[in-house]
Formats: sequence, structure tokens, C-alpha cells
Amino acid sequence: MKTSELIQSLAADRIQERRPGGSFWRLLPAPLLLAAALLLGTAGLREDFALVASTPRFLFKIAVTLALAVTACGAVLRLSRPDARIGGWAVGFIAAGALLIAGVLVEVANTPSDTWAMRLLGSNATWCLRMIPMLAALPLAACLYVLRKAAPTSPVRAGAMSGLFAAAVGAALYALHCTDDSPLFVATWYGLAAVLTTAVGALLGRWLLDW
Amino acid sequence: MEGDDAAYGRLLEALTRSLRVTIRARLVRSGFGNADLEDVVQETLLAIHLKRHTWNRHERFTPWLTAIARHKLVDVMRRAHRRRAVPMDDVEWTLAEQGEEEGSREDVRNILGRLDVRRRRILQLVSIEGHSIRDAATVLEMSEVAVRVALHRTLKALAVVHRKVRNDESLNEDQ
Repeated sequence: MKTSELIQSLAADRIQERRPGGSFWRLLPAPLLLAAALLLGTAGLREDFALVASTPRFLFKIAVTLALAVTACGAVLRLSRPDARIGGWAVGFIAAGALLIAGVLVEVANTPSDTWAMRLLGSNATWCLRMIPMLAALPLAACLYVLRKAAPTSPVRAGAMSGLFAAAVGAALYALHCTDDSPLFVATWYGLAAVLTTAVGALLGRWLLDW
Repeated sequence: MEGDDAAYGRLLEALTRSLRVTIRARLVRSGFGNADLEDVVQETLLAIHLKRHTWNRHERFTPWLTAIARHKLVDVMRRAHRRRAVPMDDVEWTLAEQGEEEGSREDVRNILGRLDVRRRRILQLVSIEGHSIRDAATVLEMSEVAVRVALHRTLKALAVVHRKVRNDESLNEDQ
């Protein structure tokens, strides 16, 4: 086919995909709600939820995970366009990281050193490592689905950021159930779960986000 | 609607002339031959068209265009195992009238042949025979909407075929 002939077809093709932002907002609510339903249906809310809902430790977990989720969400949208960088969203990552570190420092400063190991290891580490990626699965799939329709010039980076976003969502949901409240635990095990999910996202990105 | 099609077609033609010049320079620098040029140009045009919804009206068009062209070039080079950075900072897109004419080309890679029959037929009608969507719908005994959808899917399939062909080529080179 000659190029001038190809152009005939291109000019006749008026079907245009939705802008990446629009696709995102349309397709994301359902997987998020399903993930929430999944949490409630499997592990459920922690039994003392009403009691701890306003305590600093609980709010800290929610704040860090939501801050990360919102930041990663913005970053994914940026990365969905050709040659875009995450730009201003880097600030959000720095803020979430700083908050996490601050939480750890406050914990360490205010608790006896012989309890740190126990606080870090917690009681449900393996549960955490299983639940967060599981809750992250649907949001990750939705993200990748949207990105396939977009034009990310770095598939690996876009996939990784999707993984991070999904992990943050999963972590925020898991925090509603998790009874290990120490920032030491959060930094270690939520962190590890996020790293794993991000890596999976990067691999899937490499595989699925070609265009 | 027809007028819009024609205007968009002219824009694509102007882009093509610029693309040909820019892509050729970079392909030659990396030791590719002319046979590749028109395929890469077509792949890039396809990408620009299929991903045009990712251009933000409030941003400048040229960086977006450059990013897409670079992505395609890097892709082409990567699949041919030529891992070199593709410098595109000095690209000046001129939508000028000059620029090379397309040389004659055989379908060396059999791109069209790898599409299924129905898709090839749609491209045949719209691209090669130059029918309008309405006329093609009559010929194919489909509704206009169905033809539009089929054409769009065909173009997406065409982009996939280009990638597959490059992958197959790079695999064959390894053997």
C-alpha cells in the first residue's frame, strides 16, 4: 500500500478514542469499588474499627496510603502521554515519603527500644503481603487497560507507576482491616507489598503497553 | 464532514513529507536502507493518527509529534537490535511543500497479506480504490457505522502487524 493510499484510510477514520484522563475517570470507580467489596467480603473491617477510627496511628496509615494513591494516580495520567514526565507529582511522592519517615521517627522516639522488633514484625505480616497485592489486582488491571489506549513512551515506567497506584489503593483498603498499627510495620510490610506490586506492574507494562 | 476529512488528509500529507525527510536522516545514520523508510513513515503516520487523542489541545503540537516519531524510531531500532539513542533535539518540522516524493514500493514485507481477508477488503475499498465510507458500505452490504468501526479496527490491526513483522524479522536475524 502506498503511503498516499494509507492516508486515504486515515482521513476516513473519524473514530477517535477518548482522552486518557476521561477514560481513567470513567473506568476506575468500578474496580476500586470492587476491591473495597473484596476487602469487606474476605477479611472485613477490623473488629475495633469504631474505636480506632480517630486514633493517630490509624489515621496515619490512611493518610500515607491515600497520599501515595492520589500522587501515583496523577503520575500515571502524566505518563500516559508521549514523552511526559511526572513533573509536579514528584512533590507528592516526597511528601508521602516524608510522612512515612516522620511516623517511623515519632514511633521510635516514643517507644522502648526492646519493643521495636516486635512492632516491626507485627502479627500479620504474611497476611498483609498477600492481601495488598490481591486488593491491588483489579485497580492495576484497570490502569493497564486505560494505558493500552493511551500512548506511554515508557511502558515500563508507566506500568510500574500503575503498580504503585494499585498498591497504594490496596494498602489503603487493607489498612481498614489491619491491626498492626506501628509505623515500623507499615514502612516494612506495606512497603514490601508495594515494591512487589510495582515490579509486577513494570513487567506487565513492558509486555502489554507496546504501541 | 467530507471537508474535514480532506483537510485532515492534507495535514497528514504535509506531515508525511516532513516525516520522510527527518526519518530518512536518522535511519541513514544508523545504517538502515531505503526499503525501510516508507514502512517506518507509514508506521509513524499510523501511530500519530491512532494516538491523536493523547494530544492535549493546550500543549504545543510539535513536541508531541516529535515524541511519537522518536518512540517509533527507537522501537524500529530496538527490534533490529541497533541500540542507539535517537537524537531528535535538532528536529525542525517544516510543513513545507518540498520534501521527497514517495518512491515506488513493493510490499516487501507483505504487510497487507497478513491481515485477514475482510480487513484487507476494507483497506482495498477505502485506501486503494478511494471509495467513501458510504460507497464502501454499499459494496460490502454493511451499514455505514459498521464500516467505520471495521475501518478503525483494521487500522489498529495494521499497526499490530507492523510490530509483529519487525519482531519476526529480528528473530530471523538471530538465527
